[in-house]
Amino acid sequence: MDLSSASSQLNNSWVQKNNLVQRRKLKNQLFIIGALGITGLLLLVLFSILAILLINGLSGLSLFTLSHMTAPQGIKGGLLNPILGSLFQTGLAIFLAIPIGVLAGIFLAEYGNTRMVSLVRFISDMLMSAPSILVGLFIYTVIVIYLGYSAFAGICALAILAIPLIVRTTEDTLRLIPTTISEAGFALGAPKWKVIIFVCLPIAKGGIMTGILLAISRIAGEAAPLLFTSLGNSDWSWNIFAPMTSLPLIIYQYADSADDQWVQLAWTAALLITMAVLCLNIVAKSYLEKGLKNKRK
Amino acid sequence: MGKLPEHTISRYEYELEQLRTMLLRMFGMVENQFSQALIALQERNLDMARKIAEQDREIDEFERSIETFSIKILALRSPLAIDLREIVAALKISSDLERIGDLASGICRRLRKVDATHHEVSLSGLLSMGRQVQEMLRETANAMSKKDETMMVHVWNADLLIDDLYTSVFRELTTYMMEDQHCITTCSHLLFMAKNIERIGDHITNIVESTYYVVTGEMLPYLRPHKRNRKSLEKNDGK
Amino acid sequence: MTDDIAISIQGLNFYYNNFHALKNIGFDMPRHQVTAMIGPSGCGKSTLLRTINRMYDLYPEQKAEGEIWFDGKNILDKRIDLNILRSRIGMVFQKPTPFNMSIQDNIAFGIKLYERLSASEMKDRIEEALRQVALWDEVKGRLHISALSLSGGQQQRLCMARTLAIKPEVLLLDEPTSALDPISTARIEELLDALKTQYTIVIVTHNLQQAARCADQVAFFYMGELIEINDVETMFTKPDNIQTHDYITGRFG
Repeated sequence: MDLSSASSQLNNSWVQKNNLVQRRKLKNQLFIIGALGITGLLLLVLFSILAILLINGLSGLSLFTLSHMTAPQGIKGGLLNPILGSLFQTGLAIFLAIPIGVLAGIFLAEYGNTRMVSLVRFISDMLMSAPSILVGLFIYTVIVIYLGYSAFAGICALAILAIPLIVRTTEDTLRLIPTTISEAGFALGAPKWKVIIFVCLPIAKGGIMTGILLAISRIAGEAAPLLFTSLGNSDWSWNIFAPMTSLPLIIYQYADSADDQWVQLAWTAALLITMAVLCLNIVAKSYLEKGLKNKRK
Repeated sequence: MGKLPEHTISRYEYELEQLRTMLLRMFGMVENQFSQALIALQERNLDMARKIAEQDREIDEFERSIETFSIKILALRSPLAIDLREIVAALKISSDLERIGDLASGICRRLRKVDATHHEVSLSGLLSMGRQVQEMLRETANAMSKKDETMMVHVWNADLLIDDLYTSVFRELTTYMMEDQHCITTCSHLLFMAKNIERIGDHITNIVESTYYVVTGEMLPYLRPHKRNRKSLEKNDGK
Repeated sequence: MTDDIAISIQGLNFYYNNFHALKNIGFDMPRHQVTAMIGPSGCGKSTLLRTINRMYDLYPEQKAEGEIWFDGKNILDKRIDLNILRSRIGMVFQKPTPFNMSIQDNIAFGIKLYERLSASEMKDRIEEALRQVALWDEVKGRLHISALSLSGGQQQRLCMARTLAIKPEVLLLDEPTSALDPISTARIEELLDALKTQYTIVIVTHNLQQAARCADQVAFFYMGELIEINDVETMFTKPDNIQTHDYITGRFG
């Protein structure tokens, strides 16, 4: 008797709470289905891009393409000089951007919140969202007018695009480091520069690397800032002050030409860039995860 | 010291309160046992004496439970300052009370051996000593619950009087023994009873010292009043 | 100031912007003794600790006034060399703060700031420091592995070794065991007992039992004021001040 009345009371509160809980569960399920649907749609778009790239680009990919220069219309040509050009310009641009970006990031993260710091941060954020063609135009007026079209001008334009990205990631990862760690460095009597370089940077290493890799993949695909700067070159020259071609430029030039072979090469160039960027992103991601795992330990 | 605010942990507060209550109850039991022992002594009531002697077991059990409870609080609450002093004092006071209980039942057991025929031996000295101790017990209980330092010092000094009374009872009984050899046994028993009462006085002094420590955090001076007195007593014995 | 006093604080006031965090603090820390600072959160005890090695200098909005005398100099003086000061007054933090480098590099980092040592001398110093904190036997075969792979208690002892390696005279400990299990805590406390003969130790702790176990003198802070300072026995059996009393017996409203 006692037991049954107790259990019926129990049942009541099961039932009472049940109504609300069921409704909430239903809402939850609807929300999840909606989210999954939209994600699926996006993935579909993404994969169709990849698929079209693969279908159109893969057929042009061969040893010949990779080892021969571009050729005039009608002659079978390859992509050697744009590949080299892309590697050369992106590499030098990043080489230029890393010290500037990392140092600026350190400055923003470690030197307090003075007016100067917020000004620098504001400008850097502006640069990050500036259209890349604008950067190309800027370099055109500052360098190209005086020195002519050159790989150097292209490198400068790409570096300007990469710097704000590196600044931002460097600052963010440095800010994530608990203050007690750097305080521990100071408590040993270490000067500020030693604390930053030997204590903070090793911890931020993963984050900064990720930022750099992301910056590379951003500038590797840029055509707009190169149009007015490195111009493009159907031949190859190691001269940094001569015009130079690159994969994005080739895509721009070849894609709407009447020559089927050129169109094919444009597809292949696009595939190459996409693959390179994809690989970089995967590397960046695994780097980031490794860094996180270390920190968690 | 004014009234303290309550502990943040209310269970802790409750446990301390419980310990205080247990200690006061044990105090009441011992007080009661002792005054009954005095009545039995006055009326030479052997039956009553036997019953009182039996109460001792109950008091012993009470001491055990206070001890276990104190240790439990010490282990689980890590008390500090006044709480620490209070719990340590509870341990000591309960053992003093237990000794008082033992001594009181000792008096009762001896009473049964006292030869009822020796009515000429006066018990008045013994009884007035007993009443003095009874008064001390009552005052101690009062001082404990009121946390009154001056009252404690007063009780502490009152032990001097007990020691004086003991000396005179001692003389009185030895005189009886010299006058009449037949009452030597009775008088020796009475002598031991007097000694028991005197020891009870000492334990009360200990209790007062413990309570004084709880309330003030200070120890009473090392030289206890009855020691001074006992020295003079021993000097007398040597003569 | 006599030789028995390592640090003497006089009329110390501390401000976070406009917030008055320490109000006219003054007391002495005897040489080769452990001074524990207790009090509820936000009472200013950690702030005081961070004043003694001028850690607050990192933050422009923090300001200290008054005097802290250490070895004949007022360390609040602007002309004091902070690097030397911090090499003489070491600090260990609440959470272990190993640097993202190997165990030996963690210790070498501090030593290298002040001394040029040969490789073998450096090895000896690292071993000495690790032995001092009883960590040597646990890590001797793997000094080159990352300090981050050690357990929390080991990391904290490594941080102490790192601080001890530069041979300070005073050790400031900011709740050094609050993130550790009881065994690691016991190890650190045991360590403090051994270090007492060579160092003057100041420890901030929320754990009253820890203060009772480790300290020689205890200071109680409340709302930025020094309420009571007393030897440890008096502090925990019969404190003079009623606020102290209420705090340590757990009667704090």
